[in-house]
Amino acid sequence: MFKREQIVVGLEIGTAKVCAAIGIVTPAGGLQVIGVGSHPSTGVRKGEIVDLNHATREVREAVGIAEDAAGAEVSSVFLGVTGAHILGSTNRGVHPIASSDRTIGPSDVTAALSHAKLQNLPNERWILHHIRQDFIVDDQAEVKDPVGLLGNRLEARVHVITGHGLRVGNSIRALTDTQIGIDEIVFNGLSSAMTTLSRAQKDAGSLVIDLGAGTTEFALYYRDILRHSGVLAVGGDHVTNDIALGLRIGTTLAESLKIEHGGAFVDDRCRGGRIEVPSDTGTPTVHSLEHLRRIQEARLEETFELVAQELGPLLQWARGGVYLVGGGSRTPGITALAQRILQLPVHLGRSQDLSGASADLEQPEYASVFGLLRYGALRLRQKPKGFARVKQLFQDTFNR
Amino acid sequence: MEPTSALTARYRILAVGRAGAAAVQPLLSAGFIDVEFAVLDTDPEALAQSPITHRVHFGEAATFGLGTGSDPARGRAAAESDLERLRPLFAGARLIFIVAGLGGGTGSGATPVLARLAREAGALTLGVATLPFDCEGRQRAQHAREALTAFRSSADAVICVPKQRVLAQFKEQERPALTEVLAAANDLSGQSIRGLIQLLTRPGLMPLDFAHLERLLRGRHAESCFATVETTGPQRTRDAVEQLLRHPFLDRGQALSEADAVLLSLAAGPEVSFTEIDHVFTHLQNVCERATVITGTSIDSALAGRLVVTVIASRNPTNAPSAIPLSSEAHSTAPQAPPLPGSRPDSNAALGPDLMSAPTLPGVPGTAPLGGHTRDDSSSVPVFAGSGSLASPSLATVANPTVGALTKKKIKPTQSLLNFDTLPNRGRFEGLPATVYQGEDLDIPTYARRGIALN
Repeated sequence: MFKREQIVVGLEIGTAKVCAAIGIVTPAGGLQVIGVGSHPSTGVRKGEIVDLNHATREVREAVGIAEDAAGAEVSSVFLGVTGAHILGSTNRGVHPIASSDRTIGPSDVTAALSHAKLQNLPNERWILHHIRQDFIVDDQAEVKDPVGLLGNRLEARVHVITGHGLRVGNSIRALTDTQIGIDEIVFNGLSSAMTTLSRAQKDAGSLVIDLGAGTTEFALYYRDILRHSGVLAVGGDHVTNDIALGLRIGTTLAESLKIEHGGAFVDDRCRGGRIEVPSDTGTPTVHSLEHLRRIQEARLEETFELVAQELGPLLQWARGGVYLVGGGSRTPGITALAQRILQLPVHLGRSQDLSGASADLEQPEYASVFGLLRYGALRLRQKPKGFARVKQLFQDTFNR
Repeated sequence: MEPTSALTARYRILAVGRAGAAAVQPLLSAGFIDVEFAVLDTDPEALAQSPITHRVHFGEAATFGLGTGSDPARGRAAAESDLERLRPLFAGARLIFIVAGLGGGTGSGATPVLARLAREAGALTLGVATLPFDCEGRQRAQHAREALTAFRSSADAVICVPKQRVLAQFKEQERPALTEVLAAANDLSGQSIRGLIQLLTRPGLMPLDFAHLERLLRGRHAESCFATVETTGPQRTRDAVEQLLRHPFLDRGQALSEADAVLLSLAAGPEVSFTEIDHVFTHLQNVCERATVITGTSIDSALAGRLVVTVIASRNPTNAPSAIPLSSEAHSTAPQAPPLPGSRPDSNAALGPDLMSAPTLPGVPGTAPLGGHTRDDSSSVPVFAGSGSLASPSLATVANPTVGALTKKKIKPTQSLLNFDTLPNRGRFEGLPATVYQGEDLDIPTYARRGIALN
């Protein structure tokens, strides 16, 4: 139906769900979602695969649903990864300008970038992304393109997102039995931000927090540059687990109470409130609504505090707003809570510039998988037709 | 290998490992009735040195007959590999003491397994565990702590004898001899068993008291502390109470006020008077108002002029700090003994001289027998048995609610050690690598880490 070049597929093996999305890149450069497939996930904890067989089976299911919806066959995917092992750091690479007239040439830029990229990189870590931030020529900072300028010293700042090789390898393993190829491996935090933020928002300074089931990812943009990103292995599962332990109930009940009665903070209406859960014996069991909320509030509060702590002074750059995506952003009152902790305007994030018939387009849970599509679309535009060498793609500078 | 020959007595004392064998040694000559001893070890050489005739060498397959080399995992494997051989040791017993030194291999690893077997055989299972000295190193302390937790959960109750606290008794001596300290530590674990067995085996007492002991301890998985004092002279009852209330093993009396099950046992010579017994029990029961108390008294002509009071206090492991000393300072730095926690003004007034203002009389002031007491000279006569059998209504077994508030005030505000057993566990993240962020395990619920109360 469609030519293969036009199709882009995103796959996320998440803690709550395995999700595949198929999109086509329209000739005008837009992105149309033509199929989404989702299946509950059982083989993932805290963003990382713990049961490979389950994960593989669920990938097959999710991809199958998406294929049926799209009427297209998936041959390769942009695979989203997350987990506590993923680290975002900003490195600086310095290169002295050797040419006699001190003109900065393209080779100087490449050298400075590669110094920055490979700095402090232990053997077992893989580079997932290296994203150029800006250059410093002698003392002048925030130079976007230094080629042709004069200077003695060129310094490149690069945001490098690395992951532990073996743990990234586990995600790849989940696909080895499925005949599905991998175009690229993408950090979920980055993909969520890509679909949530417009260029203007990135320029004004925005923070995207993806409150997933197993992990919480964040990415901070300012002046259209990715300033920081990272992941905390704390998510909605932790909220559920806290509730289960605090109210002494099972995880399944805790999850359903969280969805039905949960909220980001204790308000006057729920003080002394009771939740009645019908039981098989006839007499319903009663739980305290206030306790439920208090447990949830403590965890969510801590999660935002940890994000703020990770960002440190950089947080002030997010004056343009904080955007919450992921399943956790459905929690009632979450924006108010985040606003209280971060002291910044907080909004719910929505995937932007997507077209398609699917009802999932507006769902915050799908931000990262749609972000994979956006990442993929960008890559397809950059990719020279016919041969797609990942190595060559890595060498591309990627600055959106 | 052949199954071990069965034991037949109703009360059995199983010494596990080298430390266990050493701890029961002083009991061998006590002449108990209906009590059998057995010594269990993985090391045949250690076993051969024991004077106990019933020796059980186990775990030969797991350790190749070489002992465990201080590895609790090996001790455990040794016991697990010989379950069927060990079972006859437990069949038909009513009460089994499992005596071991924790921190090494055999004692730490095998005792929880043995306690499980004992409970499976239907016996009331009491552990007596010595914990290592601080200077024996962190690893041993860690092993001991883990073993104690396992031991406690498989036995009905475990009496702990932290050897480090034995040292507190030698504070006044500048250079206590090593052998003396070790002997004292062994003696203490022996005394706790002796106290209990004497309470149970003296004729006439036993049936009622075993039932009570069982009710007190069965299935509680409690950690108990134990203390015994012996006094003589005209002030002997006051001395006994006073010494107990500042006994290092009872946290200077705090263990009693926090306990929820207490066993008081008093043994004295035939000259003992009712007022003396009344004095001791009233005062001690006033301290442990919240606890279920069972008391026992026996008269033994061999104890002429002496008074021996034994206290075993169990606290609920979920809400009390562990008795395991993490450092010795906590108990040796206090220069003066704190006020006695158990002196209610009304009871003091009723009993004449105020206990709190009484001058401290350290040591034993002579052994002059009390005059004027002429009593039947039968060798061993039970006087009291059962809970709350004393006349005073305030000695009822369970504290009434009005005095509960008073007791609360009496608990000293001490900084206790954080007991990690009491934190909720990690639930569905159990077994996964912990998410540690700046030293905090984020998998443990936030409300628990931040101390947010849920009530």
